[in-house]
Amino acid sequence: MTPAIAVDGLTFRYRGRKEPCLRDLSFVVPAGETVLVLGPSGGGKSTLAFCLNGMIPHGIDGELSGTVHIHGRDTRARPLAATAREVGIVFQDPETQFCTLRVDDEIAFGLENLGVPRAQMPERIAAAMEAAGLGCKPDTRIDHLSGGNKQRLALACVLAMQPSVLVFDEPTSNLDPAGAVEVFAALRRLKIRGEHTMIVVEHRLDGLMDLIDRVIVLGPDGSLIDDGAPRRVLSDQAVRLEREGIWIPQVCELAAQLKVRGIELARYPLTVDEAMVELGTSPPAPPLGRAGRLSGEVGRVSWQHHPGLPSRAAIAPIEPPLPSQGRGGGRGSLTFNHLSYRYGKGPWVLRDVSLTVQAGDFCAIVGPNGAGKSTLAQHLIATLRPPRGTVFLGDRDVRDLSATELASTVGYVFQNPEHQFVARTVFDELAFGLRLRRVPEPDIRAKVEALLAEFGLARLALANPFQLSHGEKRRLSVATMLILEQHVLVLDEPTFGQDRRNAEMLLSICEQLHRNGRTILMITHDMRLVAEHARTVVVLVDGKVVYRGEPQGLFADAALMRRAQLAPPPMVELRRRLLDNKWMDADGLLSGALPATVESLATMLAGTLAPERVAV
Amino acid sequence: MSLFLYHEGSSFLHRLNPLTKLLFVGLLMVVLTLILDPITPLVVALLLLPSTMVLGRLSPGLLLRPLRPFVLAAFGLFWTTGLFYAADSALHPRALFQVGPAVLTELGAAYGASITFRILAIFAASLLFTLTTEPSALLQALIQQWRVSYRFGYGVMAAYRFVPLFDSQLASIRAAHRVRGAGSSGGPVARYHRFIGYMVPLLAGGVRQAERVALAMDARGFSGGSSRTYYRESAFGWRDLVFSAGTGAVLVAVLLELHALGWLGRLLPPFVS
Amino acid sequence: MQVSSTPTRSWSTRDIVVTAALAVASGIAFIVFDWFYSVVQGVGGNFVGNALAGFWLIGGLLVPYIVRKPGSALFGELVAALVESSFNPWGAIVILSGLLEGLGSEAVFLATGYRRFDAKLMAGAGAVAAAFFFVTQPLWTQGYYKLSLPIILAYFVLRTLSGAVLAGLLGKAVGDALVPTGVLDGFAIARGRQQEI
Repeated sequence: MTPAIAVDGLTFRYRGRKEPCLRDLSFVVPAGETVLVLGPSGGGKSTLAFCLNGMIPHGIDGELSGTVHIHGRDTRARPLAATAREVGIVFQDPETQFCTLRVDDEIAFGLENLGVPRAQMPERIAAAMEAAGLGCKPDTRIDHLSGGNKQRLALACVLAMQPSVLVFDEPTSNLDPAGAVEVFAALRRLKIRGEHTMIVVEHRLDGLMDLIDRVIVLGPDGSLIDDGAPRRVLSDQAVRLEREGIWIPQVCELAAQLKVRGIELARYPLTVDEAMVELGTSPPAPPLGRAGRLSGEVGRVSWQHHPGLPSRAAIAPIEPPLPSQGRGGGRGSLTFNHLSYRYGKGPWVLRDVSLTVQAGDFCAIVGPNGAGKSTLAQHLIATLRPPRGTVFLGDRDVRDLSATELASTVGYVFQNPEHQFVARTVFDELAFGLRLRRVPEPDIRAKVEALLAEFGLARLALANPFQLSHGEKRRLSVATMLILEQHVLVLDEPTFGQDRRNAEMLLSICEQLHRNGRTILMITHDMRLVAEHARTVVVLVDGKVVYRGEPQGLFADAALMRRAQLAPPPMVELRRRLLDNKWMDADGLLSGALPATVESLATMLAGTLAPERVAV
Repeated sequence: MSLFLYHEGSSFLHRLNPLTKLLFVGLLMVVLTLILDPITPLVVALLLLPSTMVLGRLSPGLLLRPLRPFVLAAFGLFWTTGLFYAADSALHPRALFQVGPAVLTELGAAYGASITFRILAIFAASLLFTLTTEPSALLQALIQQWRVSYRFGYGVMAAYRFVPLFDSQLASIRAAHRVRGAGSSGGPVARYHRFIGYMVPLLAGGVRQAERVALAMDARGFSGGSSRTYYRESAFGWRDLVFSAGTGAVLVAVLLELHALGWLGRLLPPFVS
Repeated sequence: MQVSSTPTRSWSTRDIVVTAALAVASGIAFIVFDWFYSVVQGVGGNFVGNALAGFWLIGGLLVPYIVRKPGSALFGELVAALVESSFNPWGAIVILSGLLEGLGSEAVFLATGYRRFDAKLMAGAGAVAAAFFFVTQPLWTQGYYKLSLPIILAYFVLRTLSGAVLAGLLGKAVGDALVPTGVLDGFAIARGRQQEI
């Protein structure tokens, strides 16, 4: 039977670049399979998507060698429109996939391109909306859709053209968790219907793995590193994936950490459910989709203790995080006093918010989109003018501070780092704030060079800020805020769309700053960040503070989590379920107050499974 | 809050072909340019505004809000036109007002009024167009009726999405720059640098976003063959005929009436002098 | 091995959409100045109007400076006008004006074969576009022709200078500021720059 996709020796180099982006790729995808493509940030995966749908070689400049066959037909030999009809792509950014203003017009766009008779269009539009799970009215304005729904619309646009292959290029990267859930639900529906071959490029793997039949891993040079069943690939490549900075499901990280501590689980878990099975606490669930597709092991298995595995003489004990300094009202603290706000005559975005962030705290603000998180934070920098007596930095009313004093007290890192760039070179970017304050040049030079080195940007000192990679831009924007040594640092979605390495680098910088006594305030959707780093979490729903306290308390309150449209990260969920299933917790660590990081959980579990191997 | 002025509806005016409305404004502009007296354009404007409200089923507020800044600008228009009126000086018109060497004469005031009302009338017509024409409908009409290349037409339609997007991005950029301390001080040089400072991230981001949109369009077979069909069909209908005939008739009627009253073509109505 | 490349004469989808986006962004920036414009116009009337008129022409200058294809000046100006018409109450007039303004600058670029893009040419193109528009539109519609000659000349000079500076030179400055960011690498302006180096 002709495979849906047959790639042979595919190599592609963009015009103007020195190195090829894809190197000698060869793989075959049979019809109906769902493939996950993993790889480091850097464009190779998107390039692959374009090779599959004919944009390369027909619409994009570059050098192509090797072949791509879709249902046996060479993409080079057919016009772009013909291949594009068979392979549909859903892209990453919900804002830039559309060219009309209304839902039905947008779905019709593809049909118009195909020359479908007008009479057939309404029916196909309705069918596509239904298949994608898009429930709004056809004449809805695209602007009024949420991020998750926009991606569903993108899916509907593609489905209307009735392709046989679907490619998803990081579909949830720009979405909040609620949106990601919607997209995964849509993928699940498609998988169950079984009508399409699907290629999924994703970073966010927790919650996706039960859909995947096969994993392909690309290396940083664009070559094929591995290709096979998910379980085998993820367990074999665990070390390599971490080194390349590629996200893997948290339970996989856990399994890898357990292995380091001498515990090898018989069956490498891909989901929390599977981890529960492996740890011997629940019966296995039936596989999803085609019977037997999910690497056929069925049956109850348990972990194995491998005395032969190397174990570190002293596995680092779990370090409790440094508690917050807890000085209320001191320098570096933030206070909101009955703050309410609305834009013009619109609805109230903030309702009577009263809140104190202690000096030296590491605080996360979470909540659904539109809850008012950014609005709240922007009052701190007086972008929005709060009434007197409502917002205080330390002991001073924000209204009393001049722009310069404000900039010296609070650093604010915007979600889009480019918005903050004011200079032509990276060096000048960092020097800008100091030059405004008339610091002598030699001092400026010293400070800037120190910061460049610390943030790993030294070799880019003379580059134009816009030419940096996404991770570098983010680091630069944080660095510019730090050069003035403010006491407070506010970050708006710092790990959004970042790969593992950059996200971890950024968070370790923040931890360092926190240890040095600065107050860190983060607006984030990333529950893992909250679980692993935040000392305090504030939950905003509809402009009201519904929770303020430790992350533990938040995760324990399921009703609150639902109301705020939050989902606990896998480690937190695993811990809760282990406790619910009466996991042996002799030393009380599991139920304790320590944050649920992969390392700490692995140590805790190993402590129970093989106590002689682990020092706690 | 939507930036777009288009107000959704299905009134008579809404259902007109956008090209009809566009041509109406253009022709009105040409006709009024040929008419010199102040009364005609005023009458036209006074007829247009309520007609737009009624035939477009629009609330008065929708029309009054854009009119407010116009009224402000109208004052400036009036005096910078009237004060410098130089034709007909042989008639020795009566002087009304003196500002330095320039004198505002009777005729000058009438001329100033004439121009101001003319602009008001054109503005009213333009408002009719903008409030009742959906942007994508205009483009579809251009593509389907006037045979503009669909590739350019749809490319422009994609750009409409950028309007609210860029607007919010610009706001974010300005806030971010303020945080950096790239203040709001005066001085044209500082203003210029600030302007460039805003445009660079806005346009850089804008170009990248546009490229992604173009990719998404091509990925759905946009550049494909010429056998294209249309979901939204644009056509001329009976309403367009009625509208054209109606406005033409009204205009002719106004002109005839003014001629009968002896006001046509005269800068100053007979009851003045 | 197959080498694929897009032809440089015709317009790819990318060329079209990016051009449109540039035009939109130019228009957006001026919403900010729009309220300022009408207030000041209340006092300064035609003087201010003519002095600031160059702003509206920037679409027809920035776009050809970057894209450098025949027709880009007209297209840029028209797109700016079309999109502007959706949020500017002068909508229909903006479209018609855009057509005239675009024809003016297009003529200059075509006359030099779309080969020269230095400051003098940009200023000149802006000036000609403004002048052409002046002579076909406000001279009659806004009744300038009946005003005293020195005033007509004053308005003319103001508008022409405005076009040269606020459209031509400012457009060039914005384009120049964008090149080092790397986003224009796929366009003629970047290719031209590389040759210059």
